[in-house]
Amino acid sequence: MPDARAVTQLLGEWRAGDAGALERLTPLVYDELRRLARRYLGSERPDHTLQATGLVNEAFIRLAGSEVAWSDRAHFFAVAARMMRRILIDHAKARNSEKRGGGLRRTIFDDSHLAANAASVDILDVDDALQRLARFDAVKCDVLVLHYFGGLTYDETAAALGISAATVDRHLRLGKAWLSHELVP
Amino acid sequence: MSTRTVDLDPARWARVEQLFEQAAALAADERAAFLDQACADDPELRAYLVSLLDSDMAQSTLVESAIRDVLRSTVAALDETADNAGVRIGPYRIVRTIGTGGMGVVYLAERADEQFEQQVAIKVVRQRLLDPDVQKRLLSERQILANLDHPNIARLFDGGTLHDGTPYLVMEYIDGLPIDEYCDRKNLGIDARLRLFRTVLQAIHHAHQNLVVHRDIKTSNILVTADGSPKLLDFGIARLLEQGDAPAAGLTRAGAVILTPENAAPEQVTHGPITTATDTYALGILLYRLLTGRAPYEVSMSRPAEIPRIICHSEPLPPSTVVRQAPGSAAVHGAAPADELAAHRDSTPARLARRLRGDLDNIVHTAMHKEPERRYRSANEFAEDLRRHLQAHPVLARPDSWHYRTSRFLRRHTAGAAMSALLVAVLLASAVTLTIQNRRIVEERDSAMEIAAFLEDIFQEPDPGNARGANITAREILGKGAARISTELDDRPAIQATLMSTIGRVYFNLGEYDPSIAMLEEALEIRRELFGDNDPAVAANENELAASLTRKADYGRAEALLRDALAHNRRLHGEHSAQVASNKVNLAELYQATGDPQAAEANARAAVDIYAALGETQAAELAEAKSLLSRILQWQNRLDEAEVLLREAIDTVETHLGPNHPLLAYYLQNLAVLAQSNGELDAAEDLFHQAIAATRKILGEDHSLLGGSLVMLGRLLHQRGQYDAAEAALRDALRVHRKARGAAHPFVGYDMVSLGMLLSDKGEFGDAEAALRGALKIYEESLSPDHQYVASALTELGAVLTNDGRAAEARELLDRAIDIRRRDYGANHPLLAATLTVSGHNLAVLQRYAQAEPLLLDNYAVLRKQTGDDDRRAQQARRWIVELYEAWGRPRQADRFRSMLPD
Repeated sequence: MPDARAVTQLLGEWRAGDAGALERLTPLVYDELRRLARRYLGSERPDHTLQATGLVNEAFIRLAGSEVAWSDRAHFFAVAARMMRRILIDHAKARNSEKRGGGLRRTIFDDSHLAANAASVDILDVDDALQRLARFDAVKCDVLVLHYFGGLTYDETAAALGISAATVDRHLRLGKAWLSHELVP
Repeated sequence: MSTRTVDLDPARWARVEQLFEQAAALAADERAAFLDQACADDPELRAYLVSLLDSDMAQSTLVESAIRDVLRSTVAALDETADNAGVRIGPYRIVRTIGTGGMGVVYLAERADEQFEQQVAIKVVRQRLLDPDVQKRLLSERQILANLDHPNIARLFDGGTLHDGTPYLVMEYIDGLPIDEYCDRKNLGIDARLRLFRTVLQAIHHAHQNLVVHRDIKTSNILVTADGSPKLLDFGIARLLEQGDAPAAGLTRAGAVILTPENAAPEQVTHGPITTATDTYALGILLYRLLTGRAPYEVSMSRPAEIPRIICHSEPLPPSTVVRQAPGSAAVHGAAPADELAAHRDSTPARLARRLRGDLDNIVHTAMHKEPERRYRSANEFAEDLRRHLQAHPVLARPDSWHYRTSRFLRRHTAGAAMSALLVAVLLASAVTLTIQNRRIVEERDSAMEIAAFLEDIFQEPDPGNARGANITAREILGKGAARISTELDDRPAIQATLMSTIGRVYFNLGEYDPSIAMLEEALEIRRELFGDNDPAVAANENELAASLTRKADYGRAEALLRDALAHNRRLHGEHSAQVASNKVNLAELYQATGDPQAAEANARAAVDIYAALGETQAAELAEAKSLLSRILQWQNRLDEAEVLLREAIDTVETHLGPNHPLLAYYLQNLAVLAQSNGELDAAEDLFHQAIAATRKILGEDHSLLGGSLVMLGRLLHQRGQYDAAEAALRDALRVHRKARGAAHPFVGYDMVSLGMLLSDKGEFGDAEAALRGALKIYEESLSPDHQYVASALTELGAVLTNDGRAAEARELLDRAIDIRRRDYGANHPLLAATLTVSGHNLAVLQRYAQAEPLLLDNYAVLRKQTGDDDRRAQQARRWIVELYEAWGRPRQADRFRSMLPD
């Protein structure tokens, strides 16, 4: 279990501009998210809605305890949201490559119980679109990532990115419109 | 593709943003017109914006669905509990999942080609997608295990990779119980446990000789097979120390895992170098558990910030002490009762304590030392010391001798640096700052720092939100501090005396009068020797000592000390000084206790006047003096005057000390009690609620005072017939007192008696009896078998049994109760009368009417006079008289008394 003070300290360092702090923070969050993901499965039923945000919330509470300042919390959520995105994208890529290269032998990674839904999009397409967006409007991309993968509120997003809540609102509205526009098949 | 991607340079995109925002703010039918005008020169832009606005309106949830889908899939991929029976891994076939560990899953498997019958354990990493290091660690484990060859270490047979590159290990399958369970199941005695433990040590030693540190030694990683052979498992986070490695090579990286915080060594939580001594520490904890059945520390994952503090600073109770403690008392972790744990060790708590005292205490302490250098240097040395113990040879382990490093603390703290809140509180509460100003006691500034440093070393910040936690930690700390001061500061008597009296005062505030007296007496002796009799520090000391002595009813000595102190303080500080006022307060308490109310009142009034004149700095003292005077008046039944004073005290506190000062909680409770004594029951009920709310807010949910208010409220509500509300309050009181005082404290007994009385009146005799018997047990054990409280419990129990048709059984209890009452009380005392009333009722039920009649009639008269007609017991007595006469066949007398009953 990582030292909660270490988390707080790393968050502070990262906000102060130390980009390397984020890298040091990553494994801490990974551990926690992984543990939580495992736990979620215990009571998971296929129709139960999983929220990425639920995992992130709990991860924060466990990692940082209750003594972290509010703005630190917002930053933590931001970090965790970005991490959540990476985790999910990595998994989606691995899953796809499995299916492409896989034979008939039953493997240990078996999620064949998931039915494909014709009216859905692949998370990888979402990720592609976000990356395109980041090229000409990085802030919007960030706001969307925090919103979708971290479930941050307007205020939390504002605190994490250092902008006003009204600005967040603007970015989110156009960002969402742009994204769903891009994803229409 | 068309309108999907518009050529978006920054300028164009800025325009898109601006127009989108403006258009989105308009009503739908206004947008077309707006866009026509704004994009007159750019139809492509207009079409794009329309598209975006449509998307905005559509509010699609495609993205959320995509995320949900992959999240589910990701979590499923992490599933280690899915049924994988029959799946092939290399030449093996999975039988079932054995368990999941910090890094992967472990399966029970057998050879698929049925060439051999052997069963194996296969460990597979599952989460490599999330954490690329996991795979590296497994490979490291493989290399480590390949080097180890010991009968008590699970063997590595094989390794391989799955088709997707995931590595796995094939190991010896151990079918056994975790070592602590094994020992408990077989009720192994201490000797047998030690021998088993030594085998484990030998296995660890083998690993250490191969430069391997396990780093995760715990009971679930040591399984004992049916033939009694322990096997060490799971070198999952073990680390190979290369020869010539700098210590930093053993450093755990952030995120590289402390899997089991309870077993973590201090250097693990502070990210210091990990060495073989880290394993020794975990072995020490294991031994602690095997010997006592308890954990040395409790670390909760819900408060991760506390873990380093607990592991690095708190001292566990020695094994010989903890085995005698009941669960729930200070620093005792776990819920199992002491008898049960001792039985699993083929012993009793007392015998077990004797067995563990001395050598084993010291051995465990050495292994678990906070500093790695002071632990056993190797598992072998550890095993050797145990062998010496088993063979009754002298062991190497010695009790720790604290040494107090002034320089370390002085380096950390310069004047003005922040100190812990408790330290500050102690300094303020004590006379340390005053005596520091006295140049004769403190010759250099360094001495002041020494004192502060010493105190800080002793005091760690307890959790302010948990009153009980603060009390426990403080007591442990005080005990340690007292011992250290005695032994370490003999050459600095002035400082010694200062610290002793500080600690004595703190004990007083905690209600621990015996140790308080011991400390204060010693301090006084030292000071008299150093400074003579006329010194202000001596006078202050006398004052404090007298207060403690008064609480212990040593009135003669207390009065002598106070008179002495008063004389000195008058000379030194003048009649209208805080010191003289304090003397007078203590005299007032003394006279109140010895039964001289006039002298008590005179002294209390004088103190109030002095404090009032001294102004805001003495606000708390003034409030307390008024509160004391109020109590004195209350005892004289001058209730209105008492109420005025108490309200003034409350006002003083609120004005000068704020609305969250603890004194408020106490005063509000007093006010409620006052109102009740005055017969103002509505007001009393309301005030109790106020007191309860204030206590909850100021002192917390688990403070003993809250329990006090709750039980008094409960009794009041009972008296007023609100049974359900009363029960709720009483049960809450019980919870609080159990938490605050421990399950065996007399207050808990009192609550149980109150509850029993209520349940009896509700007709729930079974539960009432259980509660009262519980109370009786508590009283007998914590007070004495012939304490007056015991008589109260016996009386109520007698009533319940009588009403439940077991009058003969009740008889013996009531006779006992009567004996106890008669010893201390005369014929007109309401408590004796109450017991005799129940006795009379009991006799009536037993049909000994002639004996019953005088008892009931006489004592009913007493009750009426002393406690009023409304009193529960009086009413009960009246009812029982009616029942007596009816059963006796004397209807006219029955009628006479029945007409007096309320309807």
